[in-house]
Amino acid sequence: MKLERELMRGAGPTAVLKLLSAREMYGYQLVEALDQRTDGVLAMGQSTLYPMLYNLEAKGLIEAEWRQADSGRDRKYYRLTGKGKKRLDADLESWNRLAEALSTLGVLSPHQPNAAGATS
Amino acid sequence: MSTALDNAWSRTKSRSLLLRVWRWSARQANRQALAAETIGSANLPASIAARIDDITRRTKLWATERADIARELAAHATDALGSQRDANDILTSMGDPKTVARLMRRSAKRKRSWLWQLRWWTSNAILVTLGTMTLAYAALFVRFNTGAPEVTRHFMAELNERNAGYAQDQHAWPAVEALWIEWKREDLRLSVIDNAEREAFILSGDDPFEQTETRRERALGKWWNATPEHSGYTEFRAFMDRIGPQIEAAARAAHLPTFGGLYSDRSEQVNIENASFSVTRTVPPSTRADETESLITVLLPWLSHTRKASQILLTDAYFAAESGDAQRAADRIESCALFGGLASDDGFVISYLVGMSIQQQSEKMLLRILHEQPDLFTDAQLVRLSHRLSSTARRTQQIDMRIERTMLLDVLQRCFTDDGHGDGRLTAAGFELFADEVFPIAGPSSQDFTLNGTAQPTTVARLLGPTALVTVASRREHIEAYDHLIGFMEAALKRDISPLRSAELMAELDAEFTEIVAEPLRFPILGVLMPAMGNSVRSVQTARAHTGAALLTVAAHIHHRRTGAWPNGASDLVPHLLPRAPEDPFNPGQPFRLLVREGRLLVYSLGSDADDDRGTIEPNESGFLDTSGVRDLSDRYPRGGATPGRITDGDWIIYPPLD
Repeated sequence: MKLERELMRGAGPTAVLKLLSAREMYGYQLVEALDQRTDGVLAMGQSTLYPMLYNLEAKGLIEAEWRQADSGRDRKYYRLTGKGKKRLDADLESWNRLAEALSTLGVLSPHQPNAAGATS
Repeated sequence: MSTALDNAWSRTKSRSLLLRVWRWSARQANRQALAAETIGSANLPASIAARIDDITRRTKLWATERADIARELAAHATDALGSQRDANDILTSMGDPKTVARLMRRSAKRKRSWLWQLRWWTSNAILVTLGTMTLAYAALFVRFNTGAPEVTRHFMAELNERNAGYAQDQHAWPAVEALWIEWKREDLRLSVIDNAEREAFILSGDDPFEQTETRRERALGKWWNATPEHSGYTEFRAFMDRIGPQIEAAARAAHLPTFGGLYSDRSEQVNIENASFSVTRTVPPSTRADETESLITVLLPWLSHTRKASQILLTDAYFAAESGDAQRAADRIESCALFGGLASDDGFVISYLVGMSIQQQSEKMLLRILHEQPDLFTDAQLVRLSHRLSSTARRTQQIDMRIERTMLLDVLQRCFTDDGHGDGRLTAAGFELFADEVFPIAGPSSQDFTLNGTAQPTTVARLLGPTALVTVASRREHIEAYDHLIGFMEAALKRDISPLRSAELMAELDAEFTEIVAEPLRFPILGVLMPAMGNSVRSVQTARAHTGAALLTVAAHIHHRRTGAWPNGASDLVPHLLPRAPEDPFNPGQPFRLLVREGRLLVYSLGSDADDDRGTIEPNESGFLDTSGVRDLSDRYPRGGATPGRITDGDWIIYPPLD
């Protein structure tokens, strides 16, 4: 359990940054995307997501804006900043090197798409 | 008019401190109101609305921050409900309110401005520092105020035990005091001016007090010059004849093994029969444990009286020589030298200094009589005097610091705790004694270190003193530092350093003292108790030089009698008359110089210029000859550290005595 939490702590922000690199999203969208696109591996509740978003915002990696959605409801949209883009590139490189290393050791199969799956 | 009043009221409202405080308090009380309003407007199920309210309330953030979080969580819940998510699932995904509120609080605060962050970190750092300091001070306070000194050794009593083995008739002090009383009686008799004399002085325009001093000086103050040409000679000799029995008794007492003085810090004034004055006598120290006297307060009244008695003995020696009574003259000089030894036997530095002074006066009188009456003393008398002066020189000039060290130990036991192994920490009672040195802002001490027993610390000392635990060295460190310095001093004295190296010696001493001088807060007690080492070293050097020159002169006279010629140098006298040639302090490794001029012997040092001027003395600024002999050697020594001594031209004449 502890291992999962530690992995989540490392992978979660990168996953969020990656999602936001494609387009701006609000909190619920992020929760849904993380859950569905990772088959629940990186699923996280509000208690994890929002503190994480606030931290990323405090670091200047993302920025937020309240806007009215098409549905007419107010939502807080998050988007990647320039600094966040650089950070994401660096994180992706690190994760790739980690995955390669784990593959070399046989921890990961070469065809497995990401390291996080290994913990599920 | 009403507009002006409204404006004034508005300004008052906006500027009033009380109103501002009230408004701030109101905002604090309603910080949740904005969030609650936001939650309420979201129309969520009651359980979810209550959870969001609970979380935002627990964040304890600013009102706007809470409202923002509430708005976002509400929007999230609304989306989830719109996606047909079960309310319980939504509650579960929110997590534990307490935990999530804490996480949100932390992360939200990170978003605040850098100015807020700076203020937050600064205030936290200050709080942590103050907290740590408070805890540390509390620990020090407890440690400081729970320790108490204990006087376990009564050093004054231990000192008195030294005399316990001697019967009363073995004590020299009573005879010395009796002689001093006679001198005092005469001194006062001469000082008293009756009314008729006073009026006469006033009428003649003379100051009565000045005339009194002149009279005293004529009779008693200038004994050294008491020659037949002196105006008070006849009167003075009559006085000396009158007190002959007391002089004889004192001379005999000098051969006794001890002064027998009672070491104590208590004294009483004892009235003298048929006299208008009293004498100070020490009384037995208290036996009460809480009144154990501090050794540092010891009274040594016999020192000053012995100095005066020695002057009387030497004057009697001179008068005896005038009368051709060689034996009495020799006896008196010998007794005087023995008084020097007795004085030094006390073991205090001041005792050694007095002992050296008395010894030197004895030597000077011997040289004076030798010069004026070369054939008065027999060879045997001269040899005996030489041996006596050599032996008393060993007693007076070899300073032993053991008694001084006990003074330190005595003060330490009144200031520090005792762990039973020679160590301990400063106590409130000790701090009270040395507050002036340890913690100046604590104000003057209510008691000084001359107290008996231990001090009673004041509230101020108890409150402010704990910090001294950090700065003041421990009991053992005090002793070690003291021993180190004393060891250096004793080594310096044993090395017999030439005055030419005195600047170097003083520099070494300064370096050794630096730790104490530079750290008065660390060794406050040593700063007070440390003897004046530089002065002691100079005094010993001077005394040794004078004794050496005096013994050389006596040996040269004996040589002259035996061979009919003066020796060419000190080497002519070694070893049959002298074990070794006394060294000229200004010509290291070389003896004092001997010179014969017009058939008379001259014994001299090369002086501070270390140049042989063939017994020529230095003319002083007024054109007269400088009569400096070794007596003034100490004046030539460097003072105040490593400053070189005054270099003067000419030699320094020890014999014949020039004053």
